Amino acid sequence: MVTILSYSERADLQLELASLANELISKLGGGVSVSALIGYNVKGNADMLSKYFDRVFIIDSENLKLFDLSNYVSALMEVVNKVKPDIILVSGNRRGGAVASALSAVLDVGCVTEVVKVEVINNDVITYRSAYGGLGQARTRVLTTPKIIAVKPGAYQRSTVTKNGTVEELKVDLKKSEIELVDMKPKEAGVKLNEADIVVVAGRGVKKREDLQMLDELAKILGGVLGCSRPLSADLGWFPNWVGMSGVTIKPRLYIGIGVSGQIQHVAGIRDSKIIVAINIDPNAPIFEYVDYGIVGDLYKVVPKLIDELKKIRQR
Amino acid sequence: MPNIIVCVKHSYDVQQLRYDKTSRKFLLAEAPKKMSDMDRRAVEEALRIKEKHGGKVIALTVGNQDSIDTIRQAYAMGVDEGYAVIDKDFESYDTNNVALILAQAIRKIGNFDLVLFGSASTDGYSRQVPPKVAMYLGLPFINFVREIRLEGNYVLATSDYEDGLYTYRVKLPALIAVTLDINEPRTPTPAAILRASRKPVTQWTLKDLGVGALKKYFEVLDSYMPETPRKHVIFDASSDDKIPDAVQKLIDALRREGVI
Ligand SMILES: Cc1cc2nc3c(=O)[nH]c(=O)nc-3n(C[C@H](O)[C@H](O)[C@H](O)COP(=O)(O)OP(=O)(O)OC[C@H]3O[C@@H](n4cnc5c(N)ncnc54)[C@H](O)[C@@H]3O)c2cc1C
Ligand SMILES: Nc1ncnc2c1ncn2[C@@H]1O[C@H](COP(=O)(O)O)[C@@H](O)[C@H]1O
Repeated sequence: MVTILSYSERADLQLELASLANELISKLGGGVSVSALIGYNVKGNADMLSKYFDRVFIIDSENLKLFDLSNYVSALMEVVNKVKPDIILVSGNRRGGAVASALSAVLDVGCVTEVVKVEVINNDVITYRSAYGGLGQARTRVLTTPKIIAVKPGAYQRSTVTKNGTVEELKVDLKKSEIELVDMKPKEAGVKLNEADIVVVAGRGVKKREDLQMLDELAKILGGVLGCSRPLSADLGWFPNWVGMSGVTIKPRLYIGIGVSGQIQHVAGIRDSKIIVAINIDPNAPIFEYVDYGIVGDLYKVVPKLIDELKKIRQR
Repeated sequence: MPNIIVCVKHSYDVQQLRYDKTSRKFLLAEAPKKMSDMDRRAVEEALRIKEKHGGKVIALTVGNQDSIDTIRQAYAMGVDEGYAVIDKDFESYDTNNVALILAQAIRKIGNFDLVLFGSASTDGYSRQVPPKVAMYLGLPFINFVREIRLEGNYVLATSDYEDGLYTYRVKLPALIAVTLDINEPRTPTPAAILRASRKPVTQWTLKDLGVGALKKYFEVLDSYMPETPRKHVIFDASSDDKIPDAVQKLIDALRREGVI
C-alpha cells in the first residue's frame, strides 16, 4: 500500500497529478492518493479535488497569501508528517518546482524536477527528464523515501477517474513572511499554446511586429494558434509567452516554425510534436535537423504563397 | 556597501555538445564548458550593483579542477574574489550535495548581504540548487528575478511568474535567483582575460568546509539523445520560380499526413 501526496498551487495541475498518482497506485499494488490544498482562501477547491483524490488536506492561512517558499514548505511538511507519503508529486511550474526542491532540502530526501514520464519497473520508480539543457533525455531514480517528483505541466492529462474523497482541514502556525509584496502586474493570458492542435511559431526571422499578421492569418486558416520563440517575447515583448524549454512545452499534431533557427532550448519544447515543419531562409539552420518537412526560402515570399494556396483549398 | 556572493556553475556548452550516432550517448569528454548562461547574468547584475553602491563581488563555484575556468571568466568580467570548492567526484553529485556544499562555503566566506544564482543552470536545468541553499541557510529567497534594486538595507526584486510580475521587498541578507532577461552581460576585453588568468583563486576541499561523506539522494541511470525519427524532406524555394512547387509539395505532404 503506497501513499502518494500531490501538491500544486493550481487546481488544474492537481488534476494532472491525480492521473499520475492513480497510475502509480495501480502499478505499485494499490494505495491512497492524497491532495494538499495549500494557500489563502483556497477552501473553495476542496470539494472539486475530493472528486479526484482519496483524501484532501486543506491548509488555509493568511500567511500563505504571498508566495513565501519557507511558509509553503512548512505547510506542506504538516501534511507530509500527517500522511507519511512514499511519493510526493508536485507540479513543476515555477512556484511548484521551487516548493519541491525546498521540501527536499528540509526533508533531507531526493527530488527530481522537469519530469516528463514516470515508469514502474520491478516496483522501482524510474523518472524521465530532460538532460543537458533539453538536448537529450535522462532516465533517473530518486534513492530515498519519500521520493519527490516534480512533473512538467502538460506531461499528464487531467484525471477523469472520479472518487469520493474525504476533506480535512489542518491548522498550522505560520510566521508572517519576511518578504513583502509591493507590486504585482498580471500578465495577459495569451493563447493556451499547449492545448492547441496546430501551432505556428514566429521566430526572429520575422522582422517587424506588423508582419505577425501574416503568420496569424496562416495559423487561423489552419485552425491553429500563433506562438513565438523566446526573443520575440522576452526581448521584443510581442507575446506574453514563448515556446521552448524555459517557456511552454508543446506537443501539437502540427508545428510550423517560421524564421526559427532551432536552437536546442527551443527544440526541447517542441520535440514531441507529431509533425514538425520549418520555413527558413538558411539551408544550414539547425531546425532542419529536427523537421519532417522543410522549406528553404524567404518567409516573406513563401508564407503569402502558402496562405493563397490554402485559401484555394478551403474554398473548394 | 553590499558584499555579494554569486554562485556560478561551470556548465557544458549544450549548444556544442555532440553525441555518438549509434550509441546515442553524449560525447562529454570532448565537450566544451563555460560559465552557465544565467550565472553570467547574475555576475553582471552583481557588478552593476557594485558600480552603483560599492561593496565587493565574490564568485563561488563547486566542481572539478576545470571549474576554476569559470572563476577566471568571472574575474575577467570584473569580480573581486573567486572561490572554488574542488572535488574530483563532482560529476556524481546530486543537487542536494551541491546545495549543501554551497551553503557551507557561503557560511565560511561569511559577511555577505546578497547571494545571487541563476534560476537554472545551462546543463543541469534542475532549478533545485537555489531554493535548497535558501533552506539550508534559512534566509529569504526570491526566485525568477528579472529586476533588482537596492534601497538601503532592503532589496526590491521583480519575480517573473507564469501569471504575472511580482515585485517583492525584503531586508538583507537575502538570496536571489535571476532569469536570462535581467540584463545583457558584458564581454570581457582581451586585457581583462589576461589579467584574470593571473588572479589567485581560493581553493577548498570538502574537508576544509567540514563536509563529511555525502549521502546519495538521486542517480542518473543513463542519458542519451532520444530517437525521434523525422522524415527530413526539404523543399527548395530559394529562388522565386521554385516557390509555387515547394509550397504545393508541402501542402500535399501535410494532407497525406492528415494534419491539415
Ligand atoms: C537557458 C536558456 C533557455 C532558453 N529557452 C528558450 C526557449 O524556451 N525557447 C526559445 O525559443 N528560446 C530559448 N532560448 C534562446 C535560444 O537559445 C535561441 O536564442 C532562440 O530560440 C532563438 O530564437 P529564433 O530562432 O527565433 O532566432 P534566431 O536564432 O535569431 O533565428 C532566426 C532565424 O530566422 C531565419 N531567417 C531570417 N530571415 C528570414 C527570412 N526572411 N525568411 C526565413 N527565415 C529567415 C534565420 O536564418 C535564422 O535561422 C533559451 C536560451 C537559454 C540560454
Ligand atoms: N556546481 C555549482 N557551483 C556553483 N553554483 C551552482 C552549481 N550548480 C548550480 N549552481 C547555482 O544554482 C543555479 C541553478 O542550477 P540548477 O539547480 O542546476 O538548475 C545555477 O545557475 C547556479 O547559480
